[in-house]
Amino acid sequence: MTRPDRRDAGQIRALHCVLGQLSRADGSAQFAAGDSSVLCGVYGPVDVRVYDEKLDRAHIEVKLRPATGLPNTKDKWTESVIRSTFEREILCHLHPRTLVQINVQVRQDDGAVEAAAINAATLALVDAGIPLRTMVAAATCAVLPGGAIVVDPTLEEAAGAQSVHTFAFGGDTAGGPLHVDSRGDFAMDEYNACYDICATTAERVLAFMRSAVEGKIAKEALLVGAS
Amino acid sequence: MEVDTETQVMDVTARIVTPGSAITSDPGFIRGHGTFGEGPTIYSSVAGVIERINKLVSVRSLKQRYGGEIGDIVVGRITEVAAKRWRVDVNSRQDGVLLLSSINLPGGIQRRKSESDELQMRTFFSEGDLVFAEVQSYFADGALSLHTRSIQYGKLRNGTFVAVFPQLVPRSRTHFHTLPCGVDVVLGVNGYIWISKHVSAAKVEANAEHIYSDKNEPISDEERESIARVANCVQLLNRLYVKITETSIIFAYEESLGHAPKDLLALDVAAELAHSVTGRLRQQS
Repeated sequence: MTRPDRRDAGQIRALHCVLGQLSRADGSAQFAAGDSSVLCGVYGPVDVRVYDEKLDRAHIEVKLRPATGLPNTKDKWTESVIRSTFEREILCHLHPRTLVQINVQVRQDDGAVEAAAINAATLALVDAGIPLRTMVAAATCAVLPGGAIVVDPTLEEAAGAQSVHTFAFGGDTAGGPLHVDSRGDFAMDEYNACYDICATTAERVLAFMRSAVEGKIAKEALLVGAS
Repeated sequence: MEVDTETQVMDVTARIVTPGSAITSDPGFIRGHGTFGEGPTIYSSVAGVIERINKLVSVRSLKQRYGGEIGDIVVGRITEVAAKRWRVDVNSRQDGVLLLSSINLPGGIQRRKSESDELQMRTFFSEGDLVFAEVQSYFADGALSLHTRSIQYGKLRNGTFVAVFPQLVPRSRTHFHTLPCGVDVVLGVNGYIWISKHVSAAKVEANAEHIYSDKNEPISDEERESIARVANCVQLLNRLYVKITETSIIFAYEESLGHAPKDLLALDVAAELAHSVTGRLRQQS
């Protein structure tokens, strides 16, 4: 079985990220896996509307806009996924009565965009200096007709797949997933296989994100130290 | 108090952490900002450099919103007029609060606040006004309480506003400076900076009745050009991460005289000027 872009079944697309591109946001990050690219800007902790304020924790708000068209129900679902995942990982109790707003803009959609959005949100939150319990990395697997399992499916592969599974893990992948999304018809052994592959992939994505963040800090620590 | 001298060492790569990294499980350490504990282990909650002072372990992230400490001099913008208080945007995690009881009433004499003062709060500060204040205390939820109980604080006029990274404005004894070119600069520790036409202290005191006036003094074209030049100098210092102090602004102003004020916004000119400013600052120290 050859994939349209001639990758192996277990091979992910090239990862690329840029931190701190947006000058007016507290934190921003662009995350791309192959041709799927997502830009995330984070504001916070900032002042919150009285309607949303929580007396003992920060209020998390997520806004996702697709690459083309107006946000639809699927995008609202992805917003709620990102919000519930990060509500647990952000140390909200440190900033009561504030708002953390996560704005996600899908720049290009070539499959596995939910995972890219979660990864971009992690990097943007880290860039903004918002305290997190752990960094969150997400990965996607698709089960093709015939049972073959491929990781990081393109839009074409996902459209023709029997089922698509997205998993998000924290730093300790053995502790269980932070988010699971499975769509389509699948058997439990297919699910388990996807789980294992995505856990390994998430660890690699985490390592990539960590080295990107550490590289930026090392560069900027020298710059600030010198002035 | 012993300060860890390792922070001066250029090689910081050994001590850079990301959220979720374990720092230590040694029970002898106390955890500070940027960390959280789970069981016996201290983990980092932000991406940054570990700092250790005696037993206190903390992680300092590069980017942080201005936190605010008591005694800080800040510049803020009024966002809302509420009952007996104003809410002020001070570039922090929450809007600051300026209570009606914390401002000076016009006329310079001390008088009791009346009901009519409460009903006419917009005659003092209204939405969009810029105020120069000091942090008096915190509210229970961490919001800053400001006061302008001194003749030098109050409403800002006759100038222009520049926002910079708060980390670039060091705390010092005075935050209100008069530059040799005849321009007054207010350096808010929260990163908000006001650059205005110079008004002498005597004139300010003589105008005690009009401290809340919204009317600017007449400003000549030369004064406007100086103000614009200083504003662009502050912008370029901010762009190239140079600390913004009276000295660095004066150096930048002097170095910039060879260019038109608008040329200072071009990256190549800005980089060249920032380089000469850092050179002069290093020479001076």
